[in-house]
Amino acid sequence: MSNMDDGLNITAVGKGFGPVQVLRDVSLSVPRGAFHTLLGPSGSGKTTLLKIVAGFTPADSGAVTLAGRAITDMPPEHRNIGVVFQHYALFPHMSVTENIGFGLKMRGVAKAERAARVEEVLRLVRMTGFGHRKPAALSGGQQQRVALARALVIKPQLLLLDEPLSALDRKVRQEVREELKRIQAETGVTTVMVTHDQEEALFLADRVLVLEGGALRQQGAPADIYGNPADEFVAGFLGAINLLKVKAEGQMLRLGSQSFAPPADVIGALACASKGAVLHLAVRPEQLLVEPGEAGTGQLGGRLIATEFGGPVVTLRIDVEGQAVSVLSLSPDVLAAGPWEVGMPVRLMVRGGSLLA
Amino acid sequence: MRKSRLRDAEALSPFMIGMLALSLAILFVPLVIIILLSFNTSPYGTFPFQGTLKWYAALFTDSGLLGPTWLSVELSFLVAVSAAVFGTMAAVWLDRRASKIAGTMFRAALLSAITVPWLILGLAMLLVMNAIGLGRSLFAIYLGLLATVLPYVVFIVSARLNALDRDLDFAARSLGASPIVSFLRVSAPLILPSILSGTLIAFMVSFNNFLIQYFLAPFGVQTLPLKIYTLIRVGYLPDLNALATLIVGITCLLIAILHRLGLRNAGLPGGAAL
Repeated sequence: MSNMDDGLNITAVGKGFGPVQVLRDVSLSVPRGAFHTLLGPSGSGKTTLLKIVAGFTPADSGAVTLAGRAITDMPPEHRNIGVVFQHYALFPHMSVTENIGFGLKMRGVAKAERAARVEEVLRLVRMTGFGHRKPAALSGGQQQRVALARALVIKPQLLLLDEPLSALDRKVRQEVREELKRIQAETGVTTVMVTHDQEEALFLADRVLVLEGGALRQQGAPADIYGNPADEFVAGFLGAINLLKVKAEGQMLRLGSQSFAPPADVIGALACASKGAVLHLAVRPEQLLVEPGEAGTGQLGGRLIATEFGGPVVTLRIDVEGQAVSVLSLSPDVLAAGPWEVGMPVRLMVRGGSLLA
Repeated sequence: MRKSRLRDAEALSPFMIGMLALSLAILFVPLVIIILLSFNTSPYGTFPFQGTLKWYAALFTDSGLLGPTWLSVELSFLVAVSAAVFGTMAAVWLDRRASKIAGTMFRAALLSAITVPWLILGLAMLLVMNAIGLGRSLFAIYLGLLATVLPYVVFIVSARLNALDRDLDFAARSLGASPIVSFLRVSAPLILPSILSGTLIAFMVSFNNFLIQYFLAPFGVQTLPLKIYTLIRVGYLPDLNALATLIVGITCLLIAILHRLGLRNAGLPGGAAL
């Protein structure tokens, strides 16, 4: 924890626009060299938080420090923070070289050194040879690489990415995403990315912070957040999930008239729950195993409603006790294990999940 | 079905071609006649047409038209440049700093300056100038014309500013530019065409504006519109036609320049001021 002072620290930051409270006492720390993602739906306050850190918007309350300096009231031009915007925000009247060199020029870097550093960072983002072009002559993916180069060339103490991939096509997005991960690892720059795309957040970050309604709901490693969501919101926001309404019954769980064995993940949590408590068992679709036939002891039985072929995954929709329809995705092999007929009885094995109050 | 009807609507019917020809004729035939007469020997517009350049010679020697013309050009130049400076400042304020209420009120005030008839504006301005002790003077004309043309610059420039991505300014700031440097290096070059368009339009509106000049000119001072008005009442020589021809030529040149500057992208509503 000694390196905490080197990174970004946000303490109890609040912000309101008129009557709307956009951020409520948000506190978080990003250690030096880390890649954190602020994940949340639109209106969660994530972009406002980013703008406060960059200095584009003043906070109503709270404090921000970067590498031990208080930057709360510092104008953006003194913060030494690189920012990459959703729509690139390249200066249209300047060439790629001039765009990237802008920050160095503002810092009074001499022409020769400027040229060398621009060349170096162009190599880093694999855009060597594009220096003379105007942004309009580049594709979206290329423009975002240039924007990244422009933000990195000033050797910022913090790199902020505001939905950097959302304006790109699906294929280009994956490409740039991988580049982003490589470049961040290579440069070791402390990075905070704002996104609403959970897949992006899980892929890129070493720590995901879920923001909703202006407050942090949960933070942790991607696998941790995905596998053990803290509440229904986080569970639902990070990909498809089944929320089964169950009752605690000693070492078993009851769903309607059926009693079944809980997955190993939740046994500890279940021991703490009082008998008869109504809980939600959150199960990712891939944590369920399905077989044709009636349920045996300790298994969950249901009826097949539909099979949906989706390329690499197949989704089976199953009705369990008339309660919420559960979803299941698997490899296409499962179709071969059929015959699957709508209305037929199936049995479910719950292999994992988490208990939410 | 729908598509073919649309094409019918877009195609020019003979009636529409006729209307178009008539409108263009009403606009341009008088201009053509003036241009022809400026090269005709007869001072009374009578035929046969005999080519001459003597009216042009007269214009530049002893017509008494050049003085008022230069006064108008100088005055309008001053007005247009001032309007460019103040108008751009106002547009930046509107775009970046103005509160919602202040912005709306300012826009409404500017719009009313365009829509209130110049006759009324001129009269009102004379009253105000008298009240504040300026009275009829060159400075009063300058102020009056400036107020008249300012809205054009503000609307044209703020339309362009509005279309600029706010993130460009943020990007420049995060890279180390102060607000002023960011404006000069990033925003200003991008809105320059609209500033130039606004300035040219301000110049033309100011140059043309008879009413404001009529109400505010001190006795004995004659701008070109006032001079022409006087001449028309007492009868005039074709040297005025020569001047008119030159002005038409220069106006065409200005319009061509405006077009090159990308006026259509500068956000002028319908090019109405032209």
